[in-house]
Amino acid sequence: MKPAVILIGADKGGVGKTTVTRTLLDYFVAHNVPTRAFDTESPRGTLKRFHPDVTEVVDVTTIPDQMKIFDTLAEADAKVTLIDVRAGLLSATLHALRDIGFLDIVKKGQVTFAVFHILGPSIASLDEIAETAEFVTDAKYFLVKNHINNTTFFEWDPATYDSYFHRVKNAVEISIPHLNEMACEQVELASVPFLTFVANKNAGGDTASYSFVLRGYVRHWLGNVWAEYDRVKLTEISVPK
Amino acid sequence: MAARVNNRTPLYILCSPQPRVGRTLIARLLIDFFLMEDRPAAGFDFVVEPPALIDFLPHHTVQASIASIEGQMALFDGLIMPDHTAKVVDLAPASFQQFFSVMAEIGFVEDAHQRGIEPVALFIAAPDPASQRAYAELQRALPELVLVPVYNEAIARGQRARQNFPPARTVSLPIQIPALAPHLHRYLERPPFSFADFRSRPPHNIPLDTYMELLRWMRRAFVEFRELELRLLLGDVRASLLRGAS
Repeated sequence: MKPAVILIGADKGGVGKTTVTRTLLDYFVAHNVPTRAFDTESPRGTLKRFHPDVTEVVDVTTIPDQMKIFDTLAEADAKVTLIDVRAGLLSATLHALRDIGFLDIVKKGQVTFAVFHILGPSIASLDEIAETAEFVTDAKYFLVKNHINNTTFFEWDPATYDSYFHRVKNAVEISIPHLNEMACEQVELASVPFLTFVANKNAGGDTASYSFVLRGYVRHWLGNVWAEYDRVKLTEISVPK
Repeated sequence: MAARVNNRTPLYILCSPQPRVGRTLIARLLIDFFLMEDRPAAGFDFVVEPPALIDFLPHHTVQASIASIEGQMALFDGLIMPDHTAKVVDLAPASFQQFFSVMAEIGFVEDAHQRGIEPVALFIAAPDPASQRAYAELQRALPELVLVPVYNEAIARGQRARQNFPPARTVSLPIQIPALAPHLHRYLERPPFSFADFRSRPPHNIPLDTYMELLRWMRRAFVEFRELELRLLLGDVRASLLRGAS
């Protein structure tokens, strides 16, 4: 099976990259797709707090850590590699991927490459699309509007957005719905994957006492997020047609 | 008795999109029905105006709200507890839509079933088109919810209730609450009031025939509740036999 690399990033902070990465990890777990993740928020690593067993904190700008990610693609048990790119490093990471020849092996079809570009509400996000376009010609490119914090993309004129959107061939839009603030906070406090929260378990696997209502909201929200991933046929990334 | 046999935690939601259809009176009767059978019971009251359920049965009722997430947590986290305490929700018309919408969104009915709780919506079959529409919409939106039409004779005399509020399945056959004669109301409407206390300690100023008439009215209502519980129990038995056969 061909390995797949999914980059989740944005050049702006606070747009929900790690949240989206967490939903992706849960999605692949639920579909029995072996997946590993790299958290580039070195040295802290927010993603690692939620998914410690499959996440490694790396500094993607250093060569040893680039080797750790890309030299192991073929032999890793996990066929899907998620990279949660630190705010401001998306462009730099894409440059690095080109420089190390990763984009060439993508072009040759040896690796599946997908980019989840998380958009913020400002017009600057649209400029990021233009900057990213040249690197994703052979990738599956997903433009993610993240409404989890009730974001309204108020600065966007639909015509302007469309003009940017169409610059990237085969760009696909994904919409992450809003999640109730208290439900969101409680999962943060619990520091567990969304699926674990829904199952009312703590990080140690023991039964927890999370609110039934909040778990219900998270379950419903996660179902809607996954419906988006189903719509864009995300599992086909890891399973050859 | 039925609930003891099948070991389920009863949950009844008295509801109607319309005010003044006898919802609170039936909720009071239902709580006292359980208490008189020595079964623990708790009321959840969306107080709109006094006298409300909480005024009549203050020791067995808590105030409920669904407007905030905190209110939703207090309410639904309480309702989903499989603690064998019968729960009776007196749902105000203003909260009708949101209550069932949240219930659907959080997957309440499915989870309740897994915990041995059978949520039953007792829908007051009022003779107005809005009630008929709300009934049909509720049936569509929450097909797993047992939706039982309540024919309250005090408000629905002569209407074609069976046609307008068709039961979806055998277990949801309607219950019929007899009309209370107007001269009896004054004995029941000054809170706090418990039917259980009324039966065991009749007020000294009530004529004997009036007292007996009230007891007969209570008994007729309680027979309806008991038959509903038996239908639920039979539904459980039938489902269990079908599972065993497959």
